[in-house]
Amino acid sequence: MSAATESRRTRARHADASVGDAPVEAPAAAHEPVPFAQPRPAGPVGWVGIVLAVIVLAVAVVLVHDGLVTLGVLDGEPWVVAAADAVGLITPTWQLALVGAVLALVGLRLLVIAVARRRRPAIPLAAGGGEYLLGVDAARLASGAASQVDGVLDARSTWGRGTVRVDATTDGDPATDERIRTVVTERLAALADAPRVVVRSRRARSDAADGGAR
Amino acid sequence: MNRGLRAVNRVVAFVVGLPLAVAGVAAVLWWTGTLSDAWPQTSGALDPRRVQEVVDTEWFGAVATAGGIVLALLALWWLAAHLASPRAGTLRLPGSGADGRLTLDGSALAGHVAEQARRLPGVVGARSVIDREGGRHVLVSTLQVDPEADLPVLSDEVATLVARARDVAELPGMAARTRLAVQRRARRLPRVR
Repeated sequence: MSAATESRRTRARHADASVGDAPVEAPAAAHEPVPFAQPRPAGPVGWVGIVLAVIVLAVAVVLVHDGLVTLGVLDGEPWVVAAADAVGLITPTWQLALVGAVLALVGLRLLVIAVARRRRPAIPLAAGGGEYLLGVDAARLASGAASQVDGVLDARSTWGRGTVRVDATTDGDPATDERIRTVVTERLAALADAPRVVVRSRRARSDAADGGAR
Repeated sequence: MNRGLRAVNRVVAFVVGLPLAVAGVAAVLWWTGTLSDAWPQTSGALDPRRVQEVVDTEWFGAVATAGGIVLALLALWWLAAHLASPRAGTLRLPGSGADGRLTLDGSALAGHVAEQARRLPGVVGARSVIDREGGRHVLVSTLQVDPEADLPVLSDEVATLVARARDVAELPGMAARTRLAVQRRARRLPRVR
C-alpha cells in the first residue's frame, strides 16, 4: 500500500472517529462537500473579445455615418469613399505583400485562439472545498517537505504530468532519498490523484555538508 | 467571463480570422505571381474606388444606417459583457417573503472567510469574494500558503471552513474555487535572543 493511500485512509478514519465521539457539536465530516468550480482562465479569448468588439463598434460608426450622409442627414462625403480615394489603385507591390503577410499572421493568430483547447491547469485536492493547486504550488510544497528531511541541504522540485521531481543536495546518506520520497508522498497525499515522486540527490561537497547540516 | 461570452469570442475570432488569413496569403501570392499562374483570370490591379457604385445605390443609406445601429448595439453589449463584474453583492437568504427580506452582504461573508483562513496554521494570507457564475454562487478564495505547511491537515481545515461558510449563508448550491498559492520561500520566524 502506498504512503499516499495510507495517509488518506488514516485521515478518513480520523474523520469518522470525530463524528462518533462528538455528536452534539457539528463535526467537520458532517458537512456536505462543496462542489469544485473549475478555474477558467480567460487567456487570449478574453482580450481578443474586447479588441474585436472595439473594431466592430468602429465599423458600426463608419456605417452609420456613411448611411446618414447618403440619406442627406449629415453633410460631407462618405468615409469609405474618402478612404478608397486616398488608397487609389491597388497593384501587387512588395508593400501590399508586407501588409498581406501581417494580415495573414493576425488571421492565423485569431484562428489559433478560436480553436485552441482550454487549459485546465488545476490540480484538485481530495478534501473538497474547491481546493486546488497549480503545478508550481505542488513543486514548492515538495521542496518545502524535502528540505525538512534530516540530511537535506537544499531541495528544488518541478511538476509535470502528475509527477513531482525533487532534486536534492544531501550529506551523502544513502537512506536520504527514501526519506525524501516518503515525506513528499505524505505531504502531497492530499491531492485527489496522488502524484509519482521522483527523487534525485547528489552529495554536497564536504565543506558544504560540514557547515550546512540541518 | 462566462461560458457563453467565451463561445461568442471564439466564433467571432474564427469568422474574422479566416478571411484575414486567406486575404493575407492571397496578397502575398498575388505579389509573387503564384496567384496569376494558378488562376489566369487574376486581375492586375484592384480599384477600391468602385465602392462609389455601391454607395450610389438607392438602398445603401437605409441599409448602412440600420445595419450600423444594430452592429453598434451588439458591440456595446459585447463590450459591457466583458466589463461586467461577477461579484454577487447582496445574498437573499431563505425565509424571505411578503413580511420582509433576509439578506446577507456577500463581501462581508467572504471577508469573514478570509479572516478565518488567515488564522489556520500554514496560511500567511487570504482573500475571498463571492461571484455569480452560471446562475450559482461561487466562493472564490486565494490562500497564501507556507511551503512547509502540512497540506493534508490544512486542506481538511480549509474544506471545513468553506463548507461552514456555505451552511451559514444557507446557499445549498454554492460551489467553491480555493487556490492554495504556495509561497516561494518558507516564512522564517525571528530567532529568540
